[in-house]
Amino acid sequence: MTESGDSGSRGLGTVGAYVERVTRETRDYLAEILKENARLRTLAVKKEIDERVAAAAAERVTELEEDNRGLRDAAAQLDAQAKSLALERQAALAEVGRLTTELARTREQLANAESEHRDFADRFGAIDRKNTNLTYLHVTSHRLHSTLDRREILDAVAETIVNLVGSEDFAVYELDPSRESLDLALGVGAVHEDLRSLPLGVGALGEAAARGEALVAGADDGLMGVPGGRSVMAMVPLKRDGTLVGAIVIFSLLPQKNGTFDEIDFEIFDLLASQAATALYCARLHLEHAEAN
Amino acid sequence: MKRILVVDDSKTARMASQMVLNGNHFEVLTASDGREAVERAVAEQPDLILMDLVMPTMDGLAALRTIRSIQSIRGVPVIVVTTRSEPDYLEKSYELGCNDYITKPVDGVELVAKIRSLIGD
Repeated sequence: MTESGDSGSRGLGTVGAYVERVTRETRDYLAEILKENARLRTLAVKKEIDERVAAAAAERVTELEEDNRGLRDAAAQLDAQAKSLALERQAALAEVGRLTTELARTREQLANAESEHRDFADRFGAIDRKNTNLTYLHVTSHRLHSTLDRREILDAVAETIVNLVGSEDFAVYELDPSRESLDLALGVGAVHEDLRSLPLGVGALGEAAARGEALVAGADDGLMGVPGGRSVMAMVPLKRDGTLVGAIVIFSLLPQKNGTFDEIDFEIFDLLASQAATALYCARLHLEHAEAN
Repeated sequence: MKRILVVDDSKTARMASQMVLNGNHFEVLTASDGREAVERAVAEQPDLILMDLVMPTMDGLAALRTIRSIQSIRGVPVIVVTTRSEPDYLEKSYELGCNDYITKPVDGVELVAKIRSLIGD
């Protein structure tokens, strides 16, 4: 037993060392396995993450590809629309150009028509005025020759000057039988005493009357050198067959005439110059004839 | 055809207005003073009256006042046609109810235009 005891003790020691060694190795192995296990787990997790990331990336790529296709389609549509709009714009610009040309032509036609219309209106107005003037001349002539009464003839002259010429300040003279002066036959307005008789050949009026010439003042001032210190707007000699028989003297015009004569006034003066003289001559012959009978 | 009463003591003025108006297709009646104008207006009912102011018997202002006081003719347009351009006459005429005011010598074109603006053609 002792032997076996010794050998047993040795044996036990060997076994213990063995066990201890095995235990240690086992422990190391286990630690190594655990370490490996942890590494493998890490790798597995990492792999799983990589796979998920890859799957997500693939999914995203798919989405982006779909988006891309959609955008390409949209871009193609927009491109087609842009081309279509460009064509429409070109057509519209051409239409604008055509309409602009047409508008310019229409405006020109309108301007021509307006100008023509104005021209017609002016001509119509001028003809209308001419008609009125002829009417006034006709009325004047009619009034002078519709009577053989001297007073009525003088009234007709006065009415003509008041209503058709526009003066309420004038005088009508008849040649004195001695042919030395013009004597007042009718006065409208205040005729100065010095103007009741105008000696022929004396002063501006007398000299012009002696020559049988009419006198007309300028726009701003009357004739000077008139008896009584008055200014005169016009002197119209009345002549029968070129011989002086009287005169009309206009001292002033109505305010609305603005101190100027119109074209018709001179036509009326021309008519009065001959027709009034003839009418007064006829009236005198008629009176002489009546008195002789 | 519209009828116009021309009131003026001047035979020349009446005749001139009559010829101008006849030439523009208006029928013309005449009166030589204010009283005759009122009587003719009542009797004839003209479409418009051309009224001179300075007239014997009854002047234009008195005639205008009378016309505006008579029911049957108070609405007839009256254009005063006169040599008088003084503001007093103008103001008095409008105060009494004239529709327009023209000074002599009359521009026939203007006269017809004013008549047409009041009563048409």
